[in-house]
Amino acid sequence: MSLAAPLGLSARALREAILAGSFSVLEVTEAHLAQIAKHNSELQAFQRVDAESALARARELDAALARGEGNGPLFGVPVALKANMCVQGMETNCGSRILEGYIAPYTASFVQKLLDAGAVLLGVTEMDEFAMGSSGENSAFGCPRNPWDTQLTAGGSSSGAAVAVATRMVPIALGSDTGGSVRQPAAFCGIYGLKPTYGRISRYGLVAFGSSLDQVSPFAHTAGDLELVLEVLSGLDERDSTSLPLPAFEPERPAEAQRLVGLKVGVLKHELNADVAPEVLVQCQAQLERLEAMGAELMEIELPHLSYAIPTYYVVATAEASSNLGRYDGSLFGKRIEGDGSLTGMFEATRNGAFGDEVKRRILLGTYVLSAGYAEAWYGKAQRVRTLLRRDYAAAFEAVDVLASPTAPTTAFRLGAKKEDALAMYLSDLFTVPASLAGLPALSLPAGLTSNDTGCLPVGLQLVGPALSEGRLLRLARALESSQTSALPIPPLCTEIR
Amino acid sequence: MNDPKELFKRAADLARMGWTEADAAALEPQVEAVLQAFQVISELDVEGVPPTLGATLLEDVKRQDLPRPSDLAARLVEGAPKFREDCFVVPKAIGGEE
Repeated sequence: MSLAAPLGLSARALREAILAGSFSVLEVTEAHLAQIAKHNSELQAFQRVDAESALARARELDAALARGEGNGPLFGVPVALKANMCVQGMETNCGSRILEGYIAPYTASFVQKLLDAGAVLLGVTEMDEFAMGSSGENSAFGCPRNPWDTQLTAGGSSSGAAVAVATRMVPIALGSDTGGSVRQPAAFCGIYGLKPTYGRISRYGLVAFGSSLDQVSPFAHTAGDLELVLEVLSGLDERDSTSLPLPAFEPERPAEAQRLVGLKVGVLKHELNADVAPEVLVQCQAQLERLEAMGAELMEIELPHLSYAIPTYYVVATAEASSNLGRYDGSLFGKRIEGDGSLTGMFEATRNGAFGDEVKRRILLGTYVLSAGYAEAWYGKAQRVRTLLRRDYAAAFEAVDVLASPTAPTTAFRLGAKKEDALAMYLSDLFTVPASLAGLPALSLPAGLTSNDTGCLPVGLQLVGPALSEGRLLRLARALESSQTSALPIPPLCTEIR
Repeated sequence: MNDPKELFKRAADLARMGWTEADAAALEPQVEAVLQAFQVISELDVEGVPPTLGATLLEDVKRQDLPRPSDLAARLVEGAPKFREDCFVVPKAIGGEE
């Protein structure tokens, strides 16, 4: 590990280097702000960068260190948040015109934990409006570009956060994952993303999209950093009634953390694999073979109701979204459009004028599946199919310890390719939505680069485990990481990190 | 499915979306295509299967029902487009004005 410059180091390495006196927090912060300044206009990862606050915070931490006070687990580590996370006094607009200029009245629990651990907040990253999208194209403000090929999508909805980590603007960023919004952009950008078990991390201060699905989820460029962030952010928070009454996540003990022999890895078998790009299957298969070489046992596993997961997810998620977004009507938050001067006119003018097309589409769909005469056929049915999917997973985990599949059926696709085809966009979430419906932990790890006529693009391998099995998923991710013969590839445009 | 245009207009009205002909033309065909594709779940027999209401591992959550101080009210109303003291200001539901 070179310590010539703080860019490209993991959060753990940065903290150690700061505590060892190799860099000051100010130097680390300035280097990452410079990286943002260099690439953000092209890539649009950050919606807002607050350099002044970050530098002030860095100086405070350096002063604390000089007094012998700095030793938090993220001490001096630059971090970025998604634009749907509340920080008191900062704009939280969710990528939507309807919340443009809205200042959060309090700080999210998980943000406070980051800050208490010594992190330095550099800014807020771009996202699909209200986290609805798989390509980053639905923000009202900017569209992040994939750093591996700027004509391609970075994935979504936590697009900007993924780009920020992939280009080493920050070693850690937080996204939110409702149906794959961290795992899929992690796969498209060549980094790690972890959706924890539902309830692991408090949602207090995360603006709701689908309340039974949303989870705060970290991005990192090492598996060890995912573990570190999960350790910092997890644990009971009484301000979120879905927060699990458990202590913070504890990493596995070293002896356990190295055990792969006999670990059963279920390889998802499904006819829809026919829709997966061959180059994606090849890369994932190579990772599975490496796990096998390290002692894991591979076996094919079927989830009988997998092909019903997309309809089920989109019925449940849009129903919840239509309810959650009912609060944005010009009365309580953000923007108001007066309309004809009546109360109803104000509601309608505000919602019609300030929501983007994808949000309108999902509110329409969600309201329809909840409406009288259709609710049982759609929402009621989807809730029951959700039970079947959970049972599928329970049966699978009787036979195997984890389930593996591609994170996404393709590599990153061209910007605009699916924007006008909602169904095609939704179908790209095939592998990520089932774990969300079941509330299970799921991790996307870099599975190498394709090398064909579409260029070199990252592929993601997804691992899903039983509830609270994040330690096991991280064990596999670390094993694959440490068995690599070369460092994790960095996007070609980041020439300064090579 | 009954006439989708009528159903969507009804849903849009319920959601207070101020639906226009332009919205209908731009957005409804895709929603209709999505619903058509999603009809596949109607094939499944779910007789006797209980619904999953959420993915939580919890069955019930309680905390002590005690009053506690909160200093949020002022900051909450400040996030509204229009407010007076600690109240949100909206047009009157009947009779116009605020």
